[in-house]
Amino acid sequence: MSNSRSARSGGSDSRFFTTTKKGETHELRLELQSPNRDKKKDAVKKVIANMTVGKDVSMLFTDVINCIQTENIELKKLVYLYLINYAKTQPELTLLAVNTFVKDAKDPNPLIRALAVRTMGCIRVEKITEYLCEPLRRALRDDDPYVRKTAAVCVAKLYDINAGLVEDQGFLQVLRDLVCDPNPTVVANAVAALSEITDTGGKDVMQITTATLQKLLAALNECTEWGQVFILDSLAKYDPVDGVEAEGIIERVTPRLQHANSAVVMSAVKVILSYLDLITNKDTERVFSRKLAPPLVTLLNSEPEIQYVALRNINLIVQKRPKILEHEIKVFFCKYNDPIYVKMEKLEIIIRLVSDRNIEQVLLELKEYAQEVDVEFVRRSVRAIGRCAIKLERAADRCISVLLELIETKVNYVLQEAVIVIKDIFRRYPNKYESVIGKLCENLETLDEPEAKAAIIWIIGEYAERIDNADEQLDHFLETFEDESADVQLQLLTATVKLFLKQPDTTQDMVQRVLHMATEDSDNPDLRDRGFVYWRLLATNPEAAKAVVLGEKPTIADDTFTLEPALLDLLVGQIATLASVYHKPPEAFVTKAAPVKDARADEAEEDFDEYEEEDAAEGSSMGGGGGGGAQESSGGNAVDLLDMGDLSIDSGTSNGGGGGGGGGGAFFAPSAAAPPMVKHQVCTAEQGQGLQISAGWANKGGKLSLEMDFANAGPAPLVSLAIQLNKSYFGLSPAQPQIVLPSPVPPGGAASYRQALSTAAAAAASALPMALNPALMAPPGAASPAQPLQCAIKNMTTGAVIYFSVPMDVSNVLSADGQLDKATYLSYWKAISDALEVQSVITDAPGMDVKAVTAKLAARNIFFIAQRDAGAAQVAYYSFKVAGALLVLLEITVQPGQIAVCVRTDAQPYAQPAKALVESILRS
Amino acid sequence: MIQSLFIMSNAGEVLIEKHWREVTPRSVCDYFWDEVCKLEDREEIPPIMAVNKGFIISVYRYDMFLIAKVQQETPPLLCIEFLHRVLDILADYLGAVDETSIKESFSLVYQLLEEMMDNGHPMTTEPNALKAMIKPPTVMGRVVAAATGRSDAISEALPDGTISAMPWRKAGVRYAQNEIYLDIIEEVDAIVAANGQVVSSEVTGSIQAVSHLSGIPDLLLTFQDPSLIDDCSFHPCVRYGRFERDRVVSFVPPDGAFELMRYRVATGAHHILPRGNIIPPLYCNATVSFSDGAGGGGGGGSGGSGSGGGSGGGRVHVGLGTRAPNSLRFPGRKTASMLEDVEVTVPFPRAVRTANLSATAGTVLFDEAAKVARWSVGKLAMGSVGQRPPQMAGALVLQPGARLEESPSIHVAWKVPVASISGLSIASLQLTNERYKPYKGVRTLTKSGKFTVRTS
Repeated sequence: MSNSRSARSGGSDSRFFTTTKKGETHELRLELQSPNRDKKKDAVKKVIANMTVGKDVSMLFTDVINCIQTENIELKKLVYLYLINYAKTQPELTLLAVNTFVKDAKDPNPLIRALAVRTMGCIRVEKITEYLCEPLRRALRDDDPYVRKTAAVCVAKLYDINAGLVEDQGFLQVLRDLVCDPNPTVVANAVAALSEITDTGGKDVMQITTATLQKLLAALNECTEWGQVFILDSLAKYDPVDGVEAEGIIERVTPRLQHANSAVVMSAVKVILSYLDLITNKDTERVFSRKLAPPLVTLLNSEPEIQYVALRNINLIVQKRPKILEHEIKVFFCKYNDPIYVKMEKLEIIIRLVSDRNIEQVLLELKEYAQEVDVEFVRRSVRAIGRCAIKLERAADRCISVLLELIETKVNYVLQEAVIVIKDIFRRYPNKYESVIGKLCENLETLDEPEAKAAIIWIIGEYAERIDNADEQLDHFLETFEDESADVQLQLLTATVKLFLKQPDTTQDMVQRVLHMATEDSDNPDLRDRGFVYWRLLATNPEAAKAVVLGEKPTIADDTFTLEPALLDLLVGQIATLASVYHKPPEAFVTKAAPVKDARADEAEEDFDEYEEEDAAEGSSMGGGGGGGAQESSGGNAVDLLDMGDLSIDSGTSNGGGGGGGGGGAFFAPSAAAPPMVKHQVCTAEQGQGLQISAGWANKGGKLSLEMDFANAGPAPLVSLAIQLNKSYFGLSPAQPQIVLPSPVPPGGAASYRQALSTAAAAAASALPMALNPALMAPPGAASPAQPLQCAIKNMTTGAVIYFSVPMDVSNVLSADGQLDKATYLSYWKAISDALEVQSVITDAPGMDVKAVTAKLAARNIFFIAQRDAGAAQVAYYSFKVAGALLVLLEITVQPGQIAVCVRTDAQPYAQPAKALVESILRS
Repeated sequence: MIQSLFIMSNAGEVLIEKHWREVTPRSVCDYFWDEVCKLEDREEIPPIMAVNKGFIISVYRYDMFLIAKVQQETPPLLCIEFLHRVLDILADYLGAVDETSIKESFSLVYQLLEEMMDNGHPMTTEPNALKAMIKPPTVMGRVVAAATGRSDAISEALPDGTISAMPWRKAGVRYAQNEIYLDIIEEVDAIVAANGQVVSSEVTGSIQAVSHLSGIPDLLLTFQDPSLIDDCSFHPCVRYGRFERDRVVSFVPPDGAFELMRYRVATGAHHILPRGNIIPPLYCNATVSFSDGAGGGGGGGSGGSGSGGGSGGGRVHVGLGTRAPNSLRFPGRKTASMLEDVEVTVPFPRAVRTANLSATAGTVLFDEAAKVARWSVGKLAMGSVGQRPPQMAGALVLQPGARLEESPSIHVAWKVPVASISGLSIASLQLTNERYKPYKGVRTLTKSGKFTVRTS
């Protein structure tokens, strides 16, 4: 980054990296505002360069964003790059760019359309997402496949930011439709997006059917290499109906094994391996599995990083189907310049593939490796020789002699490692190779690692009768007993005791010394315990001691790094993933996002708490979010009543904010069981374009209705109205969209009559029955039951649309007829499946007994049914009814310090909100 | 999927960072760099490492680290292949990939990354398709840019190639002179034991092509004896089905240089090769011996003793010779061929302080810092008897008190023009779909890959 270099490179970008001078920000700002296009571009490049070297240039946000309106694509891309990086820090200002995006998304050039959609998806600011929906919907149906494939990926981006929005807007279905797109790259991207959503959302949104299967297989042949990986990975998750179908898919997938891209090859291997189990015909199975060997071998000619992943996977494949590579051991021989991580993996596979047929060759190799430079690799190689001996009985002789040759080299760490493996060989083949003990004992002095020391001490103790001076040898080790590590001490103790049992005459001193050191001088509990046990055994019953200490030992097998069969099967299904590299089950280490449902529920609870303190300001953003949803759901109604297309977002926002303040506090005010109906003026004549409205809730005969009084101050008679409600906590919706006035209200009446059936000139009243509609439920966490209900009314005569909100109280929504008798309660409770039950525990509620709980709930129309004692806890049962339609059953367990809430209702979407509601009442 | 990508220089400086999802803090790179610093050799960095939140997958090439951060389960090979592909593309665009060239064109790099990946999924990675969207810098363009300060690296129109059925080929290619060159290159990887016996050998072949053909040429390549090739992998342009069925390679080539296919030469399965391993066209015997104490390396020979004082000394001797090339095929001709560019590399252990080496042919250099001797032998006539086999010998001086505990493996590079191991040769290359008659050139070459000879 020196100045000389930047001077030399002249026109290139490196000049933008020149060191910062004081006042550079100011200078940059001036340049960004320059009318000269090239100067502007250079300035943006400088900003990006600063960003790249890690400097904070967020203060230039506005100036950079102002450059966004440009015809020059390169400049546009650079501004977008900046925007993506800093949008999170400046969400408000980012909105300034929205217009340009929306405009670009309609550009005649598909490159620009795609660029706009792609970039918008990358701006992870929640507010942007509202504006993204329309352009995205258009892009998903664009004529140009380049735009469609970009849009498909964008759906996954949006899902990551706002999963609920994607589901509400029906984008998932559009994505599923794209799986059948004529363009293979679009298909591949749609598959990629769906798989990703499945991963983050935790539920399978892909669902391959016979029809899509054929589409996928067709696209597999034509799409890009990366697309092939996506498609193959989703095929691997598919369960073929039978062996015939599996065979058919394998046939179609097999050519992918020849691909130059290793990711394609490995994913194809995964598909074939997962389906192979389904094939019953042994010959077919053999033919298919034989096809796997060459591509796997070919992978070992790739870059070392690819080899590493391939080797980790081959390790699994070889354990599952040893036959596939049984003749290929030579390709796993280490090359001199393989990186160490490749060599180590090759070594593992060599041991897995070693057999009586190739052991000679393998031993020559391993001996060669044992003389290489890298100490860790040498040790593993020596150990590998021992593992071969343990695995192949007939080759054990040869292995031992190679180990002895290696001991001859006197290389310290080779020697130590050899001693360790020879101990294992003794355990595997008792009384067979003791002749080598002499050789080992020659090198006692050089052993300085605990594991090696422990091994040789074990050997001395075990074969004391065959070693002439076993006592001297052990005595030598005992001199430094106190300085040894715990493993060595334990072995010394045991070995000395063994020696004593074999040669009691000469070693009594020794054994007493070691028992003394172990039980009195040591503070290691294991060592003390073992010491005391031996002492007691020797003192009371030497015969028993013999039986215990010199007893038969089970022989060992080489199972280092061998996986449990169940885990192996699981991992073979995960070939080509990180799980297969780490040999751990997929859920063990990769954090997946929690399933959407649960995440939502948690959020709902958290936000709910916050809401109690919040005022109207927060309410406004929620109103905006809901606007889009309301608009979407209007599609289901017969008429697009409110024509909300372009209006909804802004007007909805301001309105929601206005009315929010009033109701917020009212929620927890105590209210009588049957509150008298109060109508509030919700809309003045100015706001209502001549229509003045008062509204209130009525709960008659278990039916919730919204009663409204209309006063007409406008010029035209009021004949007919249409109403639509925004999303709310319980998803209230009008039973019918039309408001039927008893008779037209003529204009000009300041006189207003409150009486419902008054036919007086200027005013009318109407009662609007309410129903529940899960589609209108506000996203969890976005609303509280006390949230004023946002309404929009359209005057069908004038076409004017009026927005207002009606204050709410819980007791408005919960009907007075929610009480059940015990028997009915019980039968309902049983009728609702356990799966629909939701529960939680509250620990932060004020200490209450059942009585207090009952009182609190009764104030909100939640009725007590029965009570029983269960040990320290008291269980009480309640029921309530939402909007006269939805019955919710409740079981509350009161224990000191905590209250458990359990809710059952057969309308599944309401279970969580109902629970959250009860919790908040209890907490209040 | 890939969350972020960092390009890091050999000195640990982050040159480029690109985030496709949430921003990954650079502390990940610091952790990575700490791990690198623990190693003696850059190449030894494990390709996959677990970090605080997720994993980092990296490749090391061109003296440069490419680091991908992934958070969720992601196919690691996809990441690795993608990272290599980024480097391929950068090399293609920038000429040389190094710190300077990346800094000089960082905005180009960002644009490329933007096209190559979206939301962590690899997208357009075909050079031809990319070049249609983002113009590569040209010498002329740079001059113009320097003079006028104007550069426009992006094509305004949507290229046809991006989404067509042939993403690898751009449309509207026109050449005055239509030509296509095919190079059959076979590489011999082998491990040769000190006694000259070949421990393991592997022959991989590839067909490298350079295509300058107008329009949409449809080519059909047939081999004399297709059974010679064992296991192949193809460029995406090749129609697999056709090869499976007829053993012919049918394809519409990309424009420019590309690798048409790779194959493995069956060792053992066919009559060409003696069962098991191949016999390489040259032999090499090498010994490294050492002696403790003073005057150890004093014995005669060309090098003379270099050992002094109390440090140990040793001797190295490497002899080369050619062998009757019974495993090489020379299609269509009988002339004795030459071994070319023969070079022997001996990496000595750290315990060697210096070496005094001389050779009977070619030049030998000892790199004191890396402890590597490079002996450039040049050409060797094959199979000729009268020639005196070239030798390299000399004395080693060890570090005081050090002992030579391991014997190094040496690396031998060589190539033989015109020859192939497999005997694979092209029968015909037919062009359909276009009316011109292209010039067709075919060459064959056999060379060493990882060719290791162990010393005794």
